[in-house]
Amino acid sequence: MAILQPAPDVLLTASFQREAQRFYALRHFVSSFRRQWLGMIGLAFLALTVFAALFAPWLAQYNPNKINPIHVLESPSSLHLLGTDGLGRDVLSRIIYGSRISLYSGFLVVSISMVAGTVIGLVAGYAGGIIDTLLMRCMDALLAFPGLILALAITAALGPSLTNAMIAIAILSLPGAARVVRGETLSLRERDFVIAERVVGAGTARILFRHVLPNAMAPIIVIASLRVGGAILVETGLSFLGLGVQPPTPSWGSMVNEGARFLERAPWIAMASGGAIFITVLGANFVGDAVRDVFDPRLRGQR
Amino acid sequence: MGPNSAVGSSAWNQRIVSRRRVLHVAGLSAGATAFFAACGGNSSSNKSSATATKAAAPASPVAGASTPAVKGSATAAVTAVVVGGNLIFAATRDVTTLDGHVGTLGDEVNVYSGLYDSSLTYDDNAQIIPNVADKFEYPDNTTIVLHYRANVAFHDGETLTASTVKANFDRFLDPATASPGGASLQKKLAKIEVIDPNTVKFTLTQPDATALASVGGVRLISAGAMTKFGKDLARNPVGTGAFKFKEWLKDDHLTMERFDKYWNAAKAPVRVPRVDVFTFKPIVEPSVMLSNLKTRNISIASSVQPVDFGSLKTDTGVTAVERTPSSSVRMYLNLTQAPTDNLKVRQAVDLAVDRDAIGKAFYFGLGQAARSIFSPTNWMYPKDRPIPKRDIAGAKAKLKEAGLDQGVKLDMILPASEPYRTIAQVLQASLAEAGMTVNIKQLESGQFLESLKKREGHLALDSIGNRNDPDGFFSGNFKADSPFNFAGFNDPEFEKALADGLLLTDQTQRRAIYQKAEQRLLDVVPGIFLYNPPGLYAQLKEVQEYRYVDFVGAVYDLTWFKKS
Amino acid sequence: MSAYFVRRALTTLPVILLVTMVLFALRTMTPGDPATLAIGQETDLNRAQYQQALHQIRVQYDLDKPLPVQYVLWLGKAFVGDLGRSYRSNQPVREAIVERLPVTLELGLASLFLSWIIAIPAGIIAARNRNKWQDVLANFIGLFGLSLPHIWVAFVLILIFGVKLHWLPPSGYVAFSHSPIQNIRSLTLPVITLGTSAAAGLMRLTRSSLLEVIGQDYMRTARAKGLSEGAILRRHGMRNALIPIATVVALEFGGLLGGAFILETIFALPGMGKLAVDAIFAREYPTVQGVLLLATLCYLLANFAVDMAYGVLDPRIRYD
Repeated sequence: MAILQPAPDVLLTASFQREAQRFYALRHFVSSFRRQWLGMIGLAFLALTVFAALFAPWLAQYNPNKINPIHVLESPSSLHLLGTDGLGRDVLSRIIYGSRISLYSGFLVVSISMVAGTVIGLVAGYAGGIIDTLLMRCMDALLAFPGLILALAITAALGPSLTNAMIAIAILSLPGAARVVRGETLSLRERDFVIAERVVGAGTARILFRHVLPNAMAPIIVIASLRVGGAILVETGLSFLGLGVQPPTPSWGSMVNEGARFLERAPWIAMASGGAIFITVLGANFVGDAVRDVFDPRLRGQR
Repeated sequence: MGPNSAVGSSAWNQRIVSRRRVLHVAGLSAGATAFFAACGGNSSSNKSSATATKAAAPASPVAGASTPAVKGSATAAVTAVVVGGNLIFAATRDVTTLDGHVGTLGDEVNVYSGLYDSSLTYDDNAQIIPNVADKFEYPDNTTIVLHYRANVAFHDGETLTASTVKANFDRFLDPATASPGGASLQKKLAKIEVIDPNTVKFTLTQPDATALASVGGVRLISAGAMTKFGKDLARNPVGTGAFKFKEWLKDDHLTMERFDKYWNAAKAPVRVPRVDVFTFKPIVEPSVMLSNLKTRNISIASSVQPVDFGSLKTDTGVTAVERTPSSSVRMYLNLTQAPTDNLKVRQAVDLAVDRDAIGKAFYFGLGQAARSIFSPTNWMYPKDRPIPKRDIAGAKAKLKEAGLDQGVKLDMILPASEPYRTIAQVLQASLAEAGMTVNIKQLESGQFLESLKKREGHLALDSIGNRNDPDGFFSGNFKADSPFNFAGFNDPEFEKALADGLLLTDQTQRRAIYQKAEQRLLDVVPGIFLYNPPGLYAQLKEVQEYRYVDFVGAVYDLTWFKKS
Repeated sequence: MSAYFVRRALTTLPVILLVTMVLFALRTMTPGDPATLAIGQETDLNRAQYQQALHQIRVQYDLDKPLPVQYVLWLGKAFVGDLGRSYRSNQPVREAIVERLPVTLELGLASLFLSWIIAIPAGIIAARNRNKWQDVLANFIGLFGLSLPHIWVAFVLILIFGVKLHWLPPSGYVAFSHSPIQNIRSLTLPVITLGTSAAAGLMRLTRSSLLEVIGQDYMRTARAKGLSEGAILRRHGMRNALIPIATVVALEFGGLLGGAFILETIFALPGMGKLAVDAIFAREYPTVQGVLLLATLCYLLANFAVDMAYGVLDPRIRYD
């Protein structure tokens, strides 16, 4: 696509910036990320979730799966800080354990879709021609494919589990990363420093992974941070369908759905689980924004 | 849009698809389901014949059955009855077809009950009573004769005759119609003959106590419409019911208008049907349905969650109704796979289940723990039998006898919807106390049916709707060659009892036989009967004379709005 | 340029074929078939009779033929606009789609419109006041909708505005032709739910695209010429920033079908998403295939629209 070719007058500047960026990358990243206070808040939110997931057994006061028909739908009290759910389980303990499922969903979707999507994008963008067309048409087909059908078919074929559903989501998320990486690759392919490498006789793989990939990192990280949030939200939708995690494993998505059922009678379930999702997804998005601001040389220093 | 929905596209249906399974419960469509089973009671003596007045003696007003009782109950209110208005009825699932010969699914019957009439119908006590056939006879135990009323008009102006009835059965039984109930009725019927313009004779292949209900339950469609529309009857229903089809926008609304020439209209003291318009509205989420009732956007919420029921009682604008539980939540145990092939293990499961906890956790104390395979409304229901006691020590002892006290792992399949999801977790917890680990596998409804057929898992959680004949409670899930026999139960004694039971007509003899059949189940434990859920619905305070009748569905031809 | 479009069209055709083929193949992977669901569990047939009944229904539904044959038959009919009929209601699939399209289009377009109204001004304000409080506030408001599950937002809105305040109907759809005011009222809650979450993404995109453009040399040149910041944004900034925004808007349009599904279920709206998902669960293959074909075509159209927009927004593309 023609629009991705940069105008000639910026080529030289950009090339200088790239070189400089690589040299200062890490030190600069850390110091300027610190200045992104929203990013720091986001990081704190995410850290909170990770902390909850790692230390759940020590943090949770109750067994999250221990049902108690006598104490069903009790409102928050000193005994149960966030009340109890429809089976008399402690909501706070389930929120704490639920962070594991949310992080797992986010991690699974992002790692699969980013790695595979990046490879597809790199190959398509660098190879061009028929390979490019073929790969990108497949990506188009995925984009046009209603996600539910794939999620359903995969869970039906492989058995109902959150992992299988998340693999389906990851496959559907491929085009996002693939397109962006391809676009970056296309524009970098013709840049001076890449052409120079090629003239010197560097192999394709070397050019792709040493030069093109690092320069495409910023958009990948930004997309990844969005996908983390997206995956956590998607888990809610899957639970709505009964395709999510199998009970009694606590997940925020299934708690939101249960909470919706009890919204008038026991609003604390929906509020607590919705709040947990909100904080984590917000955190991931703040981090994504901050990373973008820091990483992108074209934005740096523009105040 | 946005990551929220990328696959957020997902969500839902399962619950609905499976929710309809629960709704099946009451709404067994008459002709379309094989289990529209005969009333084992008064109609079973061999040569009994019943006329409208006789058979309907105890009846209160039933869809279409105008009997003196209608007058009796209505006269008191005659002066106050107000006609007109739009009755808006909400259900959790939309109708899928309006073809009365094909439809089976839960909420559909609530539309069919207004559109169509069947030859016979039921009263509030689940007794078979005359309808457009005003008289039924058994000359011998393989013959049923139905006498039809004259002057029953279809919505398209046609008049009901014996040959219309014959044409209906021809279509119903034709495999090309793909009627779910057609195949099973076909094996019961040897011959259908028109005796005179108002009389049809049905010859059975063998004596069958359930045949009267199956034959009498086939909904009658105008013969002209059958030729004119063919498969398109699914969207162009023409019946004899109190309401005439107007329009249907799927997933949004279905409207019917009052039918002026309704055969039953003249007999009531005040115009029947009373409302001008009946609107059926599918609203998937029960809590949203309830919101619509509270904000007076609908007149009747056909299903209410147990959790909301208590608060409705205090709502001044709404009447909340709890019907006698008529359905039943069950668990099947797979006899063909270790470790549930071991009787001791099955007995251990049986002893470990906590029916009280199910009642508390999902039903908030409404409904009742099951003490039998039969529903509380069935004449076989043993109301004095104690509810099976939970016995953890006993369960552990059984496991020890089986040499499995080191722990047992069981896979449980269930539809991915409520109440199954909650009940499964309660069962999981109660079995864990006895040392059994349950792995819950909730499945989308299409997958669930396949898994049930293929016996994938040790335990299966499901529910069964009400049945009129005791045979119905057994045959679909425990008969050796039933396709949904998850347990793989194959017991000669049980099979013989069921076969004998159908041939007999004497209630005392049948009682003994079905007691024996149930005893076999209690001994071998291919299934455990857990809970009889409450039938909960709610209506606006001003809605009068609306009823729900088992095996018929919603009955609203006499319904009217009281001016406040 | 027309040659370019023809080329695009020709490469997109295989996409349609690929999607429909995959869908047909998925049938064999997914347990449960329409005949099983049509008979249901409430049967007293024995195994042999049951199998026969299943077979008869499959014959009725044309499912007895080999899958490739079914595919070719379907494709041939679809080519002339016949998408088959629903198994149970016998309604032509095309008619069902035509009935529902307005609902989903209205919901989708209204949500897109709402998201523009929120996102573009907020994005511009945020970009112009980068890292100041306006930026943070706009960011936070934008992210609010993006960070909450639709289900949660929908139920809370129904509770507040439908049940407690009685301002809006809790659910349902009224056609515009029937009553314009009721129509708007019935769609307000779902549009707010869908629109605010779309706005977040769009706002962030507007902001970052603008920031990117602001950093470009020609903007510096413009600034050096002494143009005011507002004029720069209007004359140079927005035009270039609109390119990625147009892309995303078009792609989101393609995603409307799937995205609206949960909301269509909760708010009881008779839209396309609900049609599709119900059809999947009921294994109504003709409906699933018909809707999917339409979705693919929509996507194709959206892509075309993007290409068109490029031509208008980016003068350089005209040299192609």
